[in-house]
Amino acid sequence: MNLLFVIVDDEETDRYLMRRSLKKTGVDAELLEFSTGDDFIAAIYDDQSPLVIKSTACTVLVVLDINMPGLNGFEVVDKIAQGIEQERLPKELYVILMCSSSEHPDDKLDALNRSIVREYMAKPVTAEKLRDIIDQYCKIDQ
Amino acid sequence: MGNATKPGNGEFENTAPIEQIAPNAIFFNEVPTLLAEVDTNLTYSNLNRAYAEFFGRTVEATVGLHVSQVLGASYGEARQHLESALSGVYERYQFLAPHNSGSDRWLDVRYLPKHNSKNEVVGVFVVVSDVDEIVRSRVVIEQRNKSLERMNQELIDFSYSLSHDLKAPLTSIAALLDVCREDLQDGHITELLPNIERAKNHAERLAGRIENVLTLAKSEITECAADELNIAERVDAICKLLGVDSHAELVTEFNHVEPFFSDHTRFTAIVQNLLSNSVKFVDNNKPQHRISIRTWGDEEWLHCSIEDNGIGIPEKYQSKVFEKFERMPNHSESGSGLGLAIVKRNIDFMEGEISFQSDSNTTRFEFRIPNLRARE
Repeated sequence: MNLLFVIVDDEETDRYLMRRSLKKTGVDAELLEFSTGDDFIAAIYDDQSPLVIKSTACTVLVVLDINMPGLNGFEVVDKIAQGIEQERLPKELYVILMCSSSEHPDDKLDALNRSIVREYMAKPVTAEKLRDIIDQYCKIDQ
Repeated sequence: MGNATKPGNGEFENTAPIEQIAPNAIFFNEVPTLLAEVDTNLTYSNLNRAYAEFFGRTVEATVGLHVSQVLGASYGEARQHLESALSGVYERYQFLAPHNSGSDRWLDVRYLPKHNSKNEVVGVFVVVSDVDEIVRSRVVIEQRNKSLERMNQELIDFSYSLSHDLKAPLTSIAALLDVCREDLQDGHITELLPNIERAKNHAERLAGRIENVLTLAKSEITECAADELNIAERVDAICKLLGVDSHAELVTEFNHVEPFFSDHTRFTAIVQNLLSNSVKFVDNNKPQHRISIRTWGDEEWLHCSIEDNGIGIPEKYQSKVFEKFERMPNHSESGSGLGLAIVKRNIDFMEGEISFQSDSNTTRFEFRIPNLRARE
């Protein structure tokens, strides 16, 4: 197994729905969940975090909600980009997908204007959509 | 005024200087424009009634006075323009002049250098229009424009947040219903009940948010009532409603001045939202949850503080607490992010003030609202 699937979303229901979609894809991935952007950012710099320990050998697919209390999705992406630029985070490791129940065109634009964001998806994200994305962006052994 | 106008075509025929025609002309005294003439010593040699009356004087008593004696404190500003006019320059400016009513009025002033036959400046013609209403309404319009622009931006932000915060639960509910249908079709019933429960929770939260949005909207449009309030009774009722007793050790102290008159609904909205935060954000690491409500004040103001020993508001979120749809991390399930916005709107509307201090030991909100009877 070499896919680490990370869900960052403050809504428990939305994390559940994402988990379910992932399960339905049949992709074998290790799953990590964070209910805030702050917790996720703390984890990617924490040497003890499973995110850091596992990540060296796999692709980290991050599904990131936009509207969250504390650090919002955009701020999380900017912090990761900053980390990559300062070489504190490995390049080419994170595949970041942003999602929101908002279909505001500005959100989509803001998301895709960030070079490390690969896709913007409206919620709910179906298993089919997720499977397409995994096939497209992640080199995994199946 | 016979020689001033030519009957029939209304054009000036006489090109004589104003001092030759004006003293004899009725119109000179009757026009609402303020007209005067000063000599090189800046004393009035001639003026009309409108000019004299503006400053609460008579024409006769003003002729011979120095300009500074009439303009008083406003002379300082007029002086440089007058001196410039005496050097032969046409001057026009607006300034606040002392009106006979006691309040200053905006005047539009023109100084026209008066030349003799050798083209020397021998005085200044003064032509003044009272533009007070125009200037003041322009200021009001500018202020209104600014406030409209601000409101418009607020509305854009508000509708964006609103569309997200109202839409998100509906999206979740629809997705959960899809999941339930799928499970039913596949005969997997283990997750059915929890998912129905989840959907129901989202629906209830959505209903709560809509209620809050309506409260907020109402607090911005309804007039302020002035009912006599029994503060202790009101606070007690709110505490019962929120079940404060079962969440924390409650201390109340009422030392304000009665009778107190205010808007019943707004007061309730303020206290209820502040208290509900105290109840919501308890710190489970502390052995005892404490909430205290205190009032004090005078004839004019009711002061009230609501203090708790909950988790507090982290410093980096403190600047945003009164903004709409701001929620604290890790407590997203419990709020719409509108509670403190509702509090602030109501306080603002009542022309009161609110402040807070918060750290991990104590969070204290303190507000004051006017006693509306005392203000009458």
